[in-house]
Amino acid sequence: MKKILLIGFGNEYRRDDGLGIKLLDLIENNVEKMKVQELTFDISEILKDYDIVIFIDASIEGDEISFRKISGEKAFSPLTHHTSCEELLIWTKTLYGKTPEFYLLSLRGYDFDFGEELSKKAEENLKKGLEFLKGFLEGLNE
Amino acid sequence: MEKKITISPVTRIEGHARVTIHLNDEGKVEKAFFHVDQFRGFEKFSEGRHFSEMPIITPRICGICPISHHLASAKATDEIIGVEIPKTAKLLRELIHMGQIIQSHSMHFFELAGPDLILGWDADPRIRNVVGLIQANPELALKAVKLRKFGQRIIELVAGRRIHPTFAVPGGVNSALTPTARDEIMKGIDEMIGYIKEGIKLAEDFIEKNKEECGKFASFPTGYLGLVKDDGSLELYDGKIRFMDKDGNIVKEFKPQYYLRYIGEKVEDWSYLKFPYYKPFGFPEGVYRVGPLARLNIADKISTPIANEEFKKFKSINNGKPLEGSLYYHYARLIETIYALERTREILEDPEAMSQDVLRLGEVTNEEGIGVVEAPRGTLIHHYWVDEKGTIEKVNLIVSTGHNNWAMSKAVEQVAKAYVDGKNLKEGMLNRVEGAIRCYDPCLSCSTHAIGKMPIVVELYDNNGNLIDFVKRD
Repeated sequence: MKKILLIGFGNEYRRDDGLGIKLLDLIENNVEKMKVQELTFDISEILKDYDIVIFIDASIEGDEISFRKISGEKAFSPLTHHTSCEELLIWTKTLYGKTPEFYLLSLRGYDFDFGEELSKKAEENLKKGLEFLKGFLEGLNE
Repeated sequence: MEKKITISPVTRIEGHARVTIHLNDEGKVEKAFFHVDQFRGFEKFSEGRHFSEMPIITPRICGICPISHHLASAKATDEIIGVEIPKTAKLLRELIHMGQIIQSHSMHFFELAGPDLILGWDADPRIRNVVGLIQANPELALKAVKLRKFGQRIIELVAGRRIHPTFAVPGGVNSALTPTARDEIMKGIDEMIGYIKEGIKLAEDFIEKNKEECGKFASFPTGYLGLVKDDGSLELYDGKIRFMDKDGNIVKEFKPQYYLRYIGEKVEDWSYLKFPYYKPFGFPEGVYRVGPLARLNIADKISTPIANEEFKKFKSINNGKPLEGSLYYHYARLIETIYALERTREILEDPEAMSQDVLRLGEVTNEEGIGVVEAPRGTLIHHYWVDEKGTIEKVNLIVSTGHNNWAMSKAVEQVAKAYVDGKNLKEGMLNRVEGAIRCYDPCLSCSTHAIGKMPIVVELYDNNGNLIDFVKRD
């Protein structure tokens, strides 16, 4: 049985930015879950122990929901404290010699102002994301 | 014809922060600015809530230093209920603050400063990043992970969770320290001090090899502001605010509660973020810096032995006068990390840290509360006004990035003038400009994070606002 970790990240007080966190709360499957506001490099030490890691975040552009496998190719920000999924993959591989499969589920958000409620369109995307993720997790266990 | 270069780190909040460099007809830098959005949105968001919610809400301002907001907020709420919290509660709050300093400073040094210091300003941008660093020196990177994890673990063991704890409450904290937690933290301290000493060696080697650059790079006179203990030694959690002028004279010491008497905020039409200054000197004469460099400049000593030995070396660089070069922020950050580790041990060795007396209850008795801590990036001020029921009517937050706003802009302009040639724009030139910002470790990624846009775009505009060139990191 593959060891799976779901990581939801974002800020629940910035409306749709909290999509990843909110989706995590709705998942009832028997998988491990972790909530963070931002990804930071030290969590590679946790990720190394999993076979599959699925990151869930809001997105400012693109489709209502999108899902992709993470490869190690991306530009790296030299100014911000945020670590990308791609960087985390390289950290995990280089430091620990482990290569879990990383996936990113992005849910399109529309309103990132201060507040706790999701926008109506984001609510819809949350439902779609939930259905997709349930199906994906069930597929992994078959 | 004037041209404009924009360096724009983009999070999902458009215009969150950017650098604009204005060139003249000869391609020389005429002026440069660092623009940051401010946090007024969060202040408005807090209005109407009960004051006791603030220590839980405000950590969401920042994903990197939530504990600093948690503690500054809790201190403000202590004042609203008018109680002196138990000594044990103070110690435990300071303990998680030390965890915050350790994790944040180590992350900055190894992830953001490391590529410049170890790989060099002009290294190929494809490798001059944290990934290049871990591939060049995985052993060092592993230690960075352990250091950050150690800081996070302190927070988790003491406060119950790594991020967004509900530990500090009006009147104290909501749980006592367990012997198991104390013992686990104690076990790791010496190993972590060893790791930081390796970082200090790297910083000292860099300073030795680049003495001239360290002295000149983003180096300019300002005042310095931060907390100190009663005896003038470095303080990160409590104490009094000390203001030092550009020549190193201690001009004023005051209780944090009187900050409005001494700190003014200037508005400039080109920035959403205000420019704090020392009121008695006016603006711009009263501009100052906060954070690790400022804290070591204003301190007379450090109360823990290993950090104090490093502090003496730091002070000797400019014969006891303030160090003005922004690159010294990196060195100061490491010295503070040693202090945080030693202070962690001191707290754990204090028998009162294990007491069960952690909370004083109280009712709303004051209509204002002010809480100040030294966050990793500098002085953090939370000020709340409440009605008789404790409902928040008004909030004022001055965050570290705000205090350093003028200095970051000045650093950018100085470095741009020294290194940027608009006729022959090279990546290394822009890296130096970004490097000047990195010294201050501003919180550009505060509040939100999302998948979406490239983090850095450099754009050139002519004086009519037409985009004539751009550079994108990919």
